[in-house]
Amino acid sequence: MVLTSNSRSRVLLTIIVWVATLAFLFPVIWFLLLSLKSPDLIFATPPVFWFKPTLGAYRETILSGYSNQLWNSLLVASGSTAVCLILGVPAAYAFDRFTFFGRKDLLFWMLSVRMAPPIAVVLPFYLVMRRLELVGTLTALILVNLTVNLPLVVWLMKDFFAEVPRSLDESALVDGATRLRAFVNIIFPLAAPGIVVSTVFAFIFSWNEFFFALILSSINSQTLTVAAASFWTNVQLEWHKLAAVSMVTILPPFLLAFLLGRYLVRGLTFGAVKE
Amino acid sequence: MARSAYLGQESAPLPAAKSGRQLWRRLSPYVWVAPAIIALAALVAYPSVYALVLSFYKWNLTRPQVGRRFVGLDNYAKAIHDEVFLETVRNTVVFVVGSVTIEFVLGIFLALVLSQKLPGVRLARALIITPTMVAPVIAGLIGRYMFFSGYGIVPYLLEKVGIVVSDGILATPGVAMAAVILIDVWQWTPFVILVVAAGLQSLSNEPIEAAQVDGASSWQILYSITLPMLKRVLLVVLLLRIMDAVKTFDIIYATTRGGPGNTTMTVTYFGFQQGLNFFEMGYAAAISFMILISVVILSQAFIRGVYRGAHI
Repeated sequence: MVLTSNSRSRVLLTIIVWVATLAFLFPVIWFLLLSLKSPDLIFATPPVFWFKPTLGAYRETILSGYSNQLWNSLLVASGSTAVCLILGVPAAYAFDRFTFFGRKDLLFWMLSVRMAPPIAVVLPFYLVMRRLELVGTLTALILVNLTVNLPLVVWLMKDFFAEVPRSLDESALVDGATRLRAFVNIIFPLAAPGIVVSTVFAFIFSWNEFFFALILSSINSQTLTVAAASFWTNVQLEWHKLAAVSMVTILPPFLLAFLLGRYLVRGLTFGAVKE
Repeated sequence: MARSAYLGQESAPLPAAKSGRQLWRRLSPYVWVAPAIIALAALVAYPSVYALVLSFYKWNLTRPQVGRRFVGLDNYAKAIHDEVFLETVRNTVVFVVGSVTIEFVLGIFLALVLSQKLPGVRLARALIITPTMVAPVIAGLIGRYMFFSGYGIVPYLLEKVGIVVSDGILATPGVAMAAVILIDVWQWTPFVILVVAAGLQSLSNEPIEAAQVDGASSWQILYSITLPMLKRVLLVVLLLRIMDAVKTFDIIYATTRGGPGNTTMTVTYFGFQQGLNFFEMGYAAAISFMILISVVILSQAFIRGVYRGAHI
């Protein structure tokens, strides 16, 4: 809806747009600047805006001791995403194409799993993993991330499959193809945008995940989010290094979100709202 | 039923093969969904049952020689009388109501503004989502740096306008809660903006234009036409935000760790502390089971509301 056509009010609205945008961007920009500061500037009062940037903090973290955490984050996020897709995509196809007893209840149950508080899952999960001697392994992290991302993938993909005309499966079946063949050869390629969107979101959510990783990781399986938070306990807070690790953590989701464009809203709302 | 009519075309009308085929047709959907359902059930249903069982025991991991002892409903009774737990419940309610309300009002307002044809508005919409993509724990860390007493930019700017929080923003009861709410608002208002803006875009313009012709004010149109038409979108946003805010942990961990006192401790943080700092597994299980039940009831009510009558 058009709020106003008055040109002076439109100037005011334009100002509001840019003030709001800058306000939302400022904290990230401020942290980016922090990551480029030398140690003597991070405690400076008044805060310093103009300085000679250095990549020292990145050299001392990501390029040396913290490359392991970067690698762990990548493995957990991509491993968990892959498992989500393998399990979730066929299920989503069936949820869209078939009617069967319990269909709606199963779908709603999956959604409520996505909403469930992780604290309820993590304690028993921790005890089970302890018994299986999997605490501190990447496998444990990959598995526990499924609880969040598998329902997401199923709901998103179901929505994308619904957009592929049913007449396509139908004609393939009439031509003598099996259901599986019709799915693999015809429907799956047509739902490719959905696969991309699901992959990106499952990846981002696993990548950004902190709570499970904090509890279930050891020093060897630490992810970037846990590494960033662990600076907290250091006696001398090395804010510039913390900021460097944080910027490396922020960058992939940011770029991926940018690439998603109009599919962003759809992914963030599990397909409930489309742009 | 269009669906079953369509499915009927799959079967060949050969009488001998018919019953076998029919059985397969009824069972095959379950084969497709089974891997996902079984995986999820193993990961979630089993732990939830385990948590329920555990909640009837007293079990401290730091004292393995004592082992587990069945105590019935003692852990639940303890929780109801635990002043700290009750305080964390109150904190969580304050946090959820505070942050979600602000995110909603601010988000709807900015979504309306960002839906106008204004110079650069497309770029602004692309950039404004940045906070939502930041890992929540890092959003917390950024907040911690900005609020830090001594060198944080927020206390510095506040001092410039004559406001001094002498003990530090994150160490003063009340103020600390406002600060963590502000971090959540920073992170999630863009999400509300984006989803509501998408909803606005999909509305048909006719009722709005008709009302304008009839001389209704922008305010009247917003209140009695636009927002009601957006009801489902708003419900989705509300559902997702409330569910996320109830389980807030990362921001608290990164900023105050529940302090000062316990004034910013959420229920999830409390459960974490009992289970993984004090290793009181039984008590922690009881706490998390109560959180789980309330969230499931809340989310089911919401989900049914969002999808009522919708074809899914």
